[in-house]
Amino acid sequence: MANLLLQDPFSVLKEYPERLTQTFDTPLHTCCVQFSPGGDYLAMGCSNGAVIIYDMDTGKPITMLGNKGGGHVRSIQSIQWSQNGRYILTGARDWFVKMWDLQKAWEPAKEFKFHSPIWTCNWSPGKELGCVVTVYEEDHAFAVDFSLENPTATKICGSTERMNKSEAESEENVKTLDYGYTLVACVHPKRPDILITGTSKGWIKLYRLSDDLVELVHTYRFAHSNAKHMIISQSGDRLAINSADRTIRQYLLTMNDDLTEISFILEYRYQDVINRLQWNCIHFSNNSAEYLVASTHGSSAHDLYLWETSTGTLVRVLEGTDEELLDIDWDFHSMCIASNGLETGNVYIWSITIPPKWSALAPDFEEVEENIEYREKEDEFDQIGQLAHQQELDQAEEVKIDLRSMEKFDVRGNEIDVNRFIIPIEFESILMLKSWHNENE
Amino acid sequence: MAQFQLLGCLKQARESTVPHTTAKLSPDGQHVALCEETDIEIYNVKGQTEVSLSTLHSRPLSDLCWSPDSQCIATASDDFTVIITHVKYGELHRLVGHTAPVTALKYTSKGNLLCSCSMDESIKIWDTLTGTLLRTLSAHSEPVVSIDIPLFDSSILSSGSYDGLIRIFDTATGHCLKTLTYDKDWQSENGVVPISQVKFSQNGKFLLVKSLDGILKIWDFVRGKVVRTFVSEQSKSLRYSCGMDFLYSADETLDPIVVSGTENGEIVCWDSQTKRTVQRIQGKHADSPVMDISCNGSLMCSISLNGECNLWKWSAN
Amino acid sequence: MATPPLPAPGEEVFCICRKPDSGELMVGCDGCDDWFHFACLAIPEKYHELVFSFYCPRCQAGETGPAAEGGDERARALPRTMWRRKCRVGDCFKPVAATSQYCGEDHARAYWRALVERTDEPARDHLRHMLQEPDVAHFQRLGQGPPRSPPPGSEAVLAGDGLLQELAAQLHGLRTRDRPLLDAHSTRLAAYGEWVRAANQHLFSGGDGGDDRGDKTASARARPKRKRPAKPQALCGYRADLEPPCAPERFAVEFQAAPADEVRGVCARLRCARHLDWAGIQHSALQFQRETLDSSEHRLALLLELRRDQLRLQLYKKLGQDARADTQPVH
Repeated sequence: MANLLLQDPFSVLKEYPERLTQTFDTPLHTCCVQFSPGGDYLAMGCSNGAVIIYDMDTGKPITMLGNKGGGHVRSIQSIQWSQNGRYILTGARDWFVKMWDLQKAWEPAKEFKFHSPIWTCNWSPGKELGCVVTVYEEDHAFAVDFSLENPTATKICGSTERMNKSEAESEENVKTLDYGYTLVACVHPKRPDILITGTSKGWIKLYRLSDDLVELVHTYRFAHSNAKHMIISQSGDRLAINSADRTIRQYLLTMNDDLTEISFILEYRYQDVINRLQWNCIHFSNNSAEYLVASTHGSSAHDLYLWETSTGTLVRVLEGTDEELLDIDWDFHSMCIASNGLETGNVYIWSITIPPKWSALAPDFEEVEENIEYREKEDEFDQIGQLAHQQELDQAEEVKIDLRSMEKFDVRGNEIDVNRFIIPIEFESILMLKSWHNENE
Repeated sequence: MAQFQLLGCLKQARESTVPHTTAKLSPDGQHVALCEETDIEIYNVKGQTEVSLSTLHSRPLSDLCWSPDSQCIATASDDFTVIITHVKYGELHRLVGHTAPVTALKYTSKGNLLCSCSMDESIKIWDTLTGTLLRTLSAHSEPVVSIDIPLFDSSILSSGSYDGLIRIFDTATGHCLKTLTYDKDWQSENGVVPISQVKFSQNGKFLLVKSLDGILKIWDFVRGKVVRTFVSEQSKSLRYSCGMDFLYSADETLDPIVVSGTENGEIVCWDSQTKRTVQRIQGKHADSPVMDISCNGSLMCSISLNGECNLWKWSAN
Repeated sequence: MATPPLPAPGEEVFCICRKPDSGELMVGCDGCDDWFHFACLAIPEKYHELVFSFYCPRCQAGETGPAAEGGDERARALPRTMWRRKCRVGDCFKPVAATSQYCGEDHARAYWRALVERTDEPARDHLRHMLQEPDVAHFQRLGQGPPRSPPPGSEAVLAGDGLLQELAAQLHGLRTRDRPLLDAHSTRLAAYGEWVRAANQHLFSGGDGGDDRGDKTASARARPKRKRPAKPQALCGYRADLEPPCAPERFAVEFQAAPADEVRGVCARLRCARHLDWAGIQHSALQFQRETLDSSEHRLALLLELRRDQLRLQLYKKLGQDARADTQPVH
């Protein structure tokens, strides 16, 4: 945004946050966090099923999803904002996946109930209001269609895959593999028809989804333990899997257009070689994912680790908290990282701090790094004719100016979407609070 | 060529009433709100009075600002306070903190922040949900009389002060990012020319500035250069801070129009690109200074000190 | 001590008049235990119910009674006759009821009725309006906000306001639609919970049912099933539609005949991690809905009140303006 144009470019263009700048001391215990697409809001899923939205401008909560009914009643497992910032998808341990329309955030717009707790839910970009859900003890992920009046869930199961294991056992001549339960899923950002899932037995499965056909086009075994998280870069060519064997594996994912050649090339493995800690959560930086950030499991570690993905080296440890950190989200617009603490449920924000530029207070001043010996320039005190000066000013007024068209990208390369959804202010809650204050005075 | 056509007179001038300084079109383009002593009068654009809302201000109002959802109106008063009034339910918040009359108000496009500036030389940023003060920016040495925030970019805030400086602030940190000032030859004999109003272009790349002498300039504020100058006639008295605004017509190929009110009751319109005068409205407002100009879509609302408020539409003959 | 007159032989005498009891109204002194005629002490007889503690003139002067008998400082203070508070109605000399200013409900009404009758006509409307206020807390808050009594024409304004109607409709919907639905759901869940309990009882407490699974008791115990902890053995019992599929006895029989993970759509696993806490989740959801319903009612009531206040305020203002316009000369 325009403030970035007026600040020190070296500070602005730093690629990752450096310092803990804010702590949200939330009344409820936060389990997962996600920024809205423009970084305006932060959604926090809580252990009692509440989802609270914080306004990043004011640092205060502005709404609670379902405050007129229909909220979750068990801990939130997964939160996702839609691209335009108007809808939120939540999955919880109370077996529900709910879709919220922030225009009417007081009750869920649509919901679907599974028969066991939800692991993850993701929007599928290929389909309007469609999403992919992974559910406890299910072999396959589900596609839920929220565009319908009564949402439906269909198993995402390749036409060549067996529907269930018992069937496979009975037909011994059909060679099938037990991939385990599907735990995580992500949709390819550049190819909305491609869904990648990770299973409890260490398999990555790559599906191609079309309107009436689901194909399992590729499988790859990354380890012999279950996948905890799987992330894919915005560019779609980098994939990272956090698995229960205490390792984060970073792959280069290449595929041709008709998906006949797909390869996962292991680039780096990130492990804590000393303490052998598990990783709680992982997150990529924007565009081609030059950085990877992870939180560590266990009470001894309180930091986030940040690696450069091109070299696999640790470049930064984000410190400042004194408890174990769980979920991570990264807002690329204001370059900040949010993570929630395990014990207190507070949310911590790391960001870039740009020092004030005092020279900005006077119009003709310039800040210099160190003292420069003054030497008069050749033309410094030359008298420019009144006429020449006026001509220069006049010329400046001849140049065409554009007062209409908007900037498309900010200086960090993020898309600026002026139509990003704005959550309506809840006047009713202001009035309620006021009357509550009056009564208690 | 399109011109302003008078749609109607919302309010007639009345003798011996308090000065009128503000009338604003609502963001949804359906209403006009103006101040009458300590009350807010709301008209619909068809010209009918809709409602008169009382505020609990104790002194007259100097400015008002609609919230972006057109549901609330914030009012700035000489009693040092700002009150946010919900059109349907009444008062929501009273913002106390300024130590001198409040001069102007501006909501961010998200409606979550309200900025106010005051004769106490400070700018304050308030949280509209809780009614609490978030931060105070003190960076002028004279009363701050105008503030603006770009429509789609609330990361910056510009302010104009009687100290003759235009500053750009970072709304999130409160740091001053840039200072614009006219060259030294712009100083009149009595010192600097006070700034009377600042207004961002819709895309947030340029800043239209009016000084108390009635001259308007468009700044490329990132580069710190004046790119357009509009002069109707010099105001010698330096008494009234007359209104101005950009008018963005629906046709996206056309450049916006700069609309400005003068001390003697005229409204002058220029093409922002060519600087050509496209219209000069005379014979309305009875020689009373046009204190506020508010544009939304093709509609324009003007109010003069004597209380006459007119509604105009930009349309082809 | 003054010499008392001689008493008639065999007769007890009382009072300052030293006469025997002739059936006249008397009051007993709390100090000297003598009795006194109302008439002799010039106390109106109608006060007789108002006496709280009576001391005769002698005791009050300290000649007899507690002050004369001595003792500590407090006992030597001269006693005084104490009276009960009388009813507020002028000609009623009954003592007031507890925590009241009246002898009873009837006189409270009578008093206020008289007061209203005395009030002049315009004020009487306001008074009546105030007295009709059903909510005590609200009555006590009267005067803190804008006037309650509607200005003329407010009925039409209130009835014509779209927002008010919408809010009222929402409130109506909550009360007549949402709450009964919630109650119905609640009953259904309770009934199904009962069915699961019954089925489990048939299976495991009857003696023969649980035998084949007895070895799994330990593992089943740790599972938090329903509200009762440490139930020795129980099936998960989750069924998607929460409707009992058949009689519990029949279910038990069917399950024993052919144990499976699912019988008639009911999850029949002993250790079921998948449906863990299904009943708890349902209860929480109901509880949550009930709480939000309550707060919604509260909120709507508040909004209605605020909107009404706002409309009345505007109407008052308009009336005031019109009145001013009428008095001003037309230019």
